[in-house]
Amino acid sequence: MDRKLEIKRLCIYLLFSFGLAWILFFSFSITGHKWDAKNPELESLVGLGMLAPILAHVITRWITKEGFAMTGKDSMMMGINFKDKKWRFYLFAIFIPFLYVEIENIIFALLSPSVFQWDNYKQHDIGIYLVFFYPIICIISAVISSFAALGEEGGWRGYMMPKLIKLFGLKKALILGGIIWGLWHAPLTCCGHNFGTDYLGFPYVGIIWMCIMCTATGVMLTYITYKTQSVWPAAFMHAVNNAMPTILGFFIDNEKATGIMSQMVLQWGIKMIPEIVIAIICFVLLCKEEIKQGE
Amino acid sequence: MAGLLYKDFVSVKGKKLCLGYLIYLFVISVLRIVFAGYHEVDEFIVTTERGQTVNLLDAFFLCASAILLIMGACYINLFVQKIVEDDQKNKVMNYMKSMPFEKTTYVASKYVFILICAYVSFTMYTICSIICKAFAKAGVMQDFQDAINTMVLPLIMLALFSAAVELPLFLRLGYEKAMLVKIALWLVLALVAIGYMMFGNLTIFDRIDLQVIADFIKAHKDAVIIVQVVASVLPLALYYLSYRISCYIMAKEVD
Repeated sequence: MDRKLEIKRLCIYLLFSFGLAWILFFSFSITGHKWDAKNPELESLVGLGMLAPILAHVITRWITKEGFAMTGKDSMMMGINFKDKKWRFYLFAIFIPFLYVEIENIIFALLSPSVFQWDNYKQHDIGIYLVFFYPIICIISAVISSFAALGEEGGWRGYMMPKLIKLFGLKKALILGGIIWGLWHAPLTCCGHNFGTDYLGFPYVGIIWMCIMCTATGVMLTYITYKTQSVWPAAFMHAVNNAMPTILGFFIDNEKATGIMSQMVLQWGIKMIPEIVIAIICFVLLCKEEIKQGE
Repeated sequence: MAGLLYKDFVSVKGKKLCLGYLIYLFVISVLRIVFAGYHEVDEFIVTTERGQTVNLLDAFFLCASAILLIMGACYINLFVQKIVEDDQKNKVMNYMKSMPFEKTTYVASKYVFILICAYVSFTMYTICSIICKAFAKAGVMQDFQDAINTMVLPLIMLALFSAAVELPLFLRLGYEKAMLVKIALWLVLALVAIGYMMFGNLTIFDRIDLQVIADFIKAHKDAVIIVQVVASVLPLALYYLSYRISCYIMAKEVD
């Protein structure tokens, strides 16, 4: 492996990935907008920045003449293969966000029972019968309109992670990849995306949390990409994760949190426990795979 | 499979088409951004029969994005016949029989190709509509865009459903015979429509326009979501069923 060349390729990719997305993100931020659902049309437009990583991937391959192979070694990993029971990872990708989101809600409700309100769903302008179908609706619509998530995963998992793993080894790559991915979101975190603006240490604490969250999610996404050799399940998981499939979430009122759960930063930390546990399991499995391959 | 998909991509002149799509999207996006601040210019503002003020620029961009959707749905339908026609012309089936492929791979490639086309069409429209909606003035045009957005999935799925019906026909009967059957089917549908126009109650159409649809969607949010989900899942299930039928037909033919 030509280390210098690989670093050069990675730098070109990061330049385009950050550059293209940050033009959009900063335009939103500089014009004084906040990510507060008051202007969903503009937020959707800024959301198109999610396509920047895959565009950067294509541009980098074009500049560095790496070719555009869809499947196989050093490819764009765009193929779909259900053979050798790989379909299990597709199911895992689609359903695991629902699992950890609900466990997060259970932990939240157990630590601060006052947040659980039976009639809270009315705030969301949704019928009670629809609440119970909401995860299925989320999963179906997220999979069908997964192009934005594919935009991110096609870049991060399809190009950056294989390069980082080649350069720094699996363990360092997973952490470094998560931090890069988290920092990529920084301009949006500064506008209140994901965490809002009303918390201790805004926006720096938010950026750090985003890096931690991206590292945990990144480990899971890298694991399924590695197992299927395709970025599609990662894109599906990312899309479902963004759609937040939940039933219990409709009955939880965050503002009624008491005790330690009333502190936003601590709330995120405790809520993230299930995701981190799954990420650790995926991390161990990935390390085992690496050892197996080494032998 | 990748090779077969690429063959179909070449058959439908995919590179030119993708380039065309991207240029269209780029031009619309640039124009939309350039004309973003023209909401208050009097020349562009008209009043509808209902008394709502509409900006003609917003209406233009709404139509521009809707064209992309209609084009996508039409292309899906055209591709079905085009990929089978080209295969027949180039005697691809004879070549396939000599290749170490599973019998189902050829059929699967056709279905996957059409599915990819549907996904791309949906994606292109969604991107275009996001750009157009972001710069449109809040009000009637955004409601119309929402109404069209609600109909996107059912429309794309309708195109997929049509492909699910046509693909087994084209694969079993070949291009020419299948085209005859297709034309006959369309003729029957056209006759039914003409018959309805002659003898049916046409007054119900007087009450239906985009505003009525937009109002209905706003008033029945939950029901619309359920219909959207069912309208997505059902055609996909039928599409899979059609694939299994085509595999069965092809396996019998090869044997």
